[in-house]
Amino acid sequence: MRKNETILDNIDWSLILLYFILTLLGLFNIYSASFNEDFPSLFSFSQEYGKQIIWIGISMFLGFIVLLLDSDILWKYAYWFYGFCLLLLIAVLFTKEINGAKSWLGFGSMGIQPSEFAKLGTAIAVSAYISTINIKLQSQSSAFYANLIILIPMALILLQPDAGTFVVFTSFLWVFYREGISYDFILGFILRLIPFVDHTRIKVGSNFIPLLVVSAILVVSTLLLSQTTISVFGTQMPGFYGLIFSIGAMMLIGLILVRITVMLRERKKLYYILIVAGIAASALVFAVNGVFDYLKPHQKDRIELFLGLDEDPDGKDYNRNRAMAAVGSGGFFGKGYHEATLASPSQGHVPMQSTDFIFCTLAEEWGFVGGIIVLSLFVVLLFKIIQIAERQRSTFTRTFAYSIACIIFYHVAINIGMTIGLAPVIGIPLPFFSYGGSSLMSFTMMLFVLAKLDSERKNVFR
Amino acid sequence: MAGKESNKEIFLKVYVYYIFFVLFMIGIVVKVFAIQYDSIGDFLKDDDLEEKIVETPAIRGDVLADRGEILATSVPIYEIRMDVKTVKDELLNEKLDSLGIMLQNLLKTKTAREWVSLIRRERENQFLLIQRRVPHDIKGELEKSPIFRKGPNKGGFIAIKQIKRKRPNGVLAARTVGLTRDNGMNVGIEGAFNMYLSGTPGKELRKKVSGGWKPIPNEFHQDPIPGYDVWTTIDLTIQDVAETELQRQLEEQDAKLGCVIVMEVETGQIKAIANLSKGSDGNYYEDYNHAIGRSTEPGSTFKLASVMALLEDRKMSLNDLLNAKGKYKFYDSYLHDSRHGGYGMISLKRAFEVSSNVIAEAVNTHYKNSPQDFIDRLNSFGLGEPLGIDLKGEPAPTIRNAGDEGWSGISIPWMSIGYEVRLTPLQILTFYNGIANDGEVMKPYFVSKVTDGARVVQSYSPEVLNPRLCSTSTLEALKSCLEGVVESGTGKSLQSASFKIAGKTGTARIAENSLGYGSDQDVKHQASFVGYFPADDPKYSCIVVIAAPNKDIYGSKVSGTVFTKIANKVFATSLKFHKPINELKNVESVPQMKNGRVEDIKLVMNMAGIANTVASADFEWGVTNEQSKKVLVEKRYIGPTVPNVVGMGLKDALFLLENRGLVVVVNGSGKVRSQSVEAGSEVIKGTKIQINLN
Repeated sequence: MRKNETILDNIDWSLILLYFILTLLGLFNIYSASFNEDFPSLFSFSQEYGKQIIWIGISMFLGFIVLLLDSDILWKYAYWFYGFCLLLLIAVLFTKEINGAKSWLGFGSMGIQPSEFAKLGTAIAVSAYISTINIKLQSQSSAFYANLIILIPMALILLQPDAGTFVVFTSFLWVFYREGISYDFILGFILRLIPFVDHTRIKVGSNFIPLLVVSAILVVSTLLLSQTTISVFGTQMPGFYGLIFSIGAMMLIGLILVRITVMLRERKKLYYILIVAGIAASALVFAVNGVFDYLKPHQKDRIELFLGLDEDPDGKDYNRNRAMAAVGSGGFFGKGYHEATLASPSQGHVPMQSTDFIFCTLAEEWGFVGGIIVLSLFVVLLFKIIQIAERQRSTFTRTFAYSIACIIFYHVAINIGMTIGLAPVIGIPLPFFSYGGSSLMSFTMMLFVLAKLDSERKNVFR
Repeated sequence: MAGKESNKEIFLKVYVYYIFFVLFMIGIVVKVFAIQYDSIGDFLKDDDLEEKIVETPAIRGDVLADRGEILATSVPIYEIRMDVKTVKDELLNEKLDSLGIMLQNLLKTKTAREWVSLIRRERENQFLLIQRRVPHDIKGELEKSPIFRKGPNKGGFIAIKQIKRKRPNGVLAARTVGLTRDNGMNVGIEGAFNMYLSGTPGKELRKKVSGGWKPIPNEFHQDPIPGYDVWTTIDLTIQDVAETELQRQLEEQDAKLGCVIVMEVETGQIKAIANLSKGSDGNYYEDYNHAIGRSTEPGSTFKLASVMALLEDRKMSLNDLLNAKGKYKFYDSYLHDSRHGGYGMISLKRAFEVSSNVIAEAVNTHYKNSPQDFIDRLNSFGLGEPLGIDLKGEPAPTIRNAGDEGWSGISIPWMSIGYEVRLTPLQILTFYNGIANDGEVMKPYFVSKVTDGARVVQSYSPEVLNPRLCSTSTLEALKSCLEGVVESGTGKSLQSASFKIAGKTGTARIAENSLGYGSDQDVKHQASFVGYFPADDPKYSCIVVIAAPNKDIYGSKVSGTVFTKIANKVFATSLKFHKPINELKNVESVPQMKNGRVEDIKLVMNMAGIANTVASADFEWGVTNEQSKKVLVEKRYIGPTVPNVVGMGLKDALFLLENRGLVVVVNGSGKVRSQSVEAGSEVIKGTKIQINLN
């Protein structure tokens, strides 16, 4: 093995290029989102854009170091990294609250957020654990330990509390899904309690995670829609009926797709699955709605608050309205760079517009087109990472790639989703775009670690 | 699906990821598109998106009494309303009871149960009135109440800020101070001086933020300019007496209404003005400015003008005799004297003192062939002209010219005793004040100055309406008549022990609009007394008018008593009447002075007229050195060390010591005799220093 040659030769430069494009776009976006007329230079280091340049510098330096390091240490010391991250997560609990959460470690404006690095540490630990020779996620104990690895940091993050990052950690379930985790033992335990159901015959296997996520999305959507009404051809009806219509429509589309694409002999089974799924989904929606109506007002309050339905003291509803107004005012081509009014730093009133609501500035200044371009870049990045994952011989690298793909996907989906009203408002950054050193460093290292591991895909077989 | 997964399954899974990514991307694209094109109108027409320029109200200036006591000032109050419709059922069901209790406790207008049922009943009301005129602190409490705490959008809490005029000194001179009304029809001083009081509203750019409108600084921003303060001439002490005595008498006489005006003779300043009328509930309220706005037939008080005319036109002299037979015929109408059978042969002066209607006959005799001469003479006294006061609502006096519509053969005799003419109490008083002021008629005024902080924006000085009312001889004659009224005439009961009062009683029948003077069973009278005091050196003139008294009808009894009480009180409390017992011509010996700030020492000595010499001008703290005829002020060194405060007063000593961080323990009073920490020693903050004073 001629290492010096292989690193540069085998690095996936398209990944690195995507990283640079996203980071630079992010920087210029921050330059507009938090522009201060008194400090017009991009290199005003007292301003967020100036600081972001410093963070980019540090991040790239760290990324460069990662490329130079021997990748062996990653999996050899995986649990040490993980343990170190847990220590930071514990340490942060002893700090002073900032904005109602204990999530900052360090000094003043240059602090770090351990929860951002915990994602990376957990990704490495999960990859290390799953790539261990004897681990079979179908087994009860392996599934248990794998879940434990993500549950410990989740618990610590909940103590801060940081709901956003907590939710992001559930993205590891998708990693487990790829690696074939089975929750049948839990499912069986629950089903055993229900009479007339032969639990031994029900085997969901690794499909449990998608089913769980789809169910969760359905539940949340039902709750979100339960308080609204929609009007269909002039008839008023509860909002969740829309969900039932959507399920029906998706079933139809699914059936048509199956008919077009699938061979005759396999159709019957897929038809069957689609119909059962549609009925089950509809039943779930009705059930959730029924239970919610049955709940006592204070319980409803709590759920609504959690979902961001009720106006809480922070005025999240208001924030989102302003954010959506900014997105909406951008139009197709946007108002132009530095031309945002609703999401402008001096006269706008979009809150946290350089961090959580950064997408507003982008959408207002670059419009629909700009938003789609950035979104496409993210999708390309995710596809790229999955593609990289699937060409690995190493389970470690593959698992790690899936981990960061899922983490980035969650961040992008939830961040943009909450800006435009598709997801509850939980403050998590948009990767490479939101202002903030910790998240930028963390995401940079994720990509560079992946690039490093990928560059050795031909060398090792772990 | 245990065991090794097939490649096909792996492919399927990878597609699941791809599909999820793409689905979410499509979701986002669709949603962004929807926001931008479907609901863009909604967002833009949503007025809370816009900024708005708001007028910020200026704080209205204060109306002050002559020594700066506040008669009217501005405080913010709130109108609390509730958008009940916006509150969700769950919230309302859960918290309405506690809101009811809070409302009961804070507003004390309804019980908790009543509040709950009201709000339930008004479930659809988006602007339910909770309470008007809620003070600032209560509004703050309400804001924190259950439901309301959720703010305007979820809790339906609406607080509309208003500015309320408050009268810290009660209703004193309420009607003259006036009112500000929403419709702009302000009355009284508030109305007349609105241009000064109102101030200039500011402009402010506001932007909707979470929970309200946030002011945004920009180049259009203008701070509101507060209104100026208006200083009235009202003397609170006199005003208080006037109002109290008027009220007492109105209640005693069960009268319909009454008013009192006190005017400073020399200047025409109104020192007190009180108006009270009986409300439907039997209590008296100041709801109309009768004193300046109610024009009535003055009755006998007008006889002064008639006599003045007779004297000025040299038709008669005071000693000319008249036959007061008690019943005087003019065509087919009669006038009676109040004493049955009259007074016999009496002089004109006596006729005036007893208020005999023989004066009507005398005037008629002298003017019936040239009635316009009488009218012209009255007008020459200024009686036909309005006074032109600052306040709105002064009616012009009614004095008909000969041959005007309604003029008849009995117009001259009737006018001469104060009928068929209409004047306001203030117009009558101004005329009498002219007599008291040796013929110089002063224009009555209510406001002495308008100030903006310490700066005087506008000041008003006394104005002369008529420099010479009549000849000096006439003036002296009339003065003696007015004094005679009180000495031996209808106003005998008004005599006061310590000073002389001069004035005239008046008892007029009130003409009801349609009923004329009413039948004998239902006669209503207006009793008045107008005069000045002290008679030999008039300081104040005053008129008391009481309409429709139910017990007595005569001016002296009904209004005269009020006049006397006011006069007595004013005399007793006003320093103007009391000459200092021993006015010091010059200071024989120099009094003891305290050491202290040179400016203060100089001020005190200059005010007291003590000769003094300050050694040089450039020091702040001085030592006084009393010499035989003057005080020499020398410099006292005050540095960063512990200062020497010996000889100073407590105020200066405390200032100096505590400024240096010392803790002062005071013992005794007077001048500092000794200090426990030696002067010139280094200051250690927090050290105790005892100073002994004697």
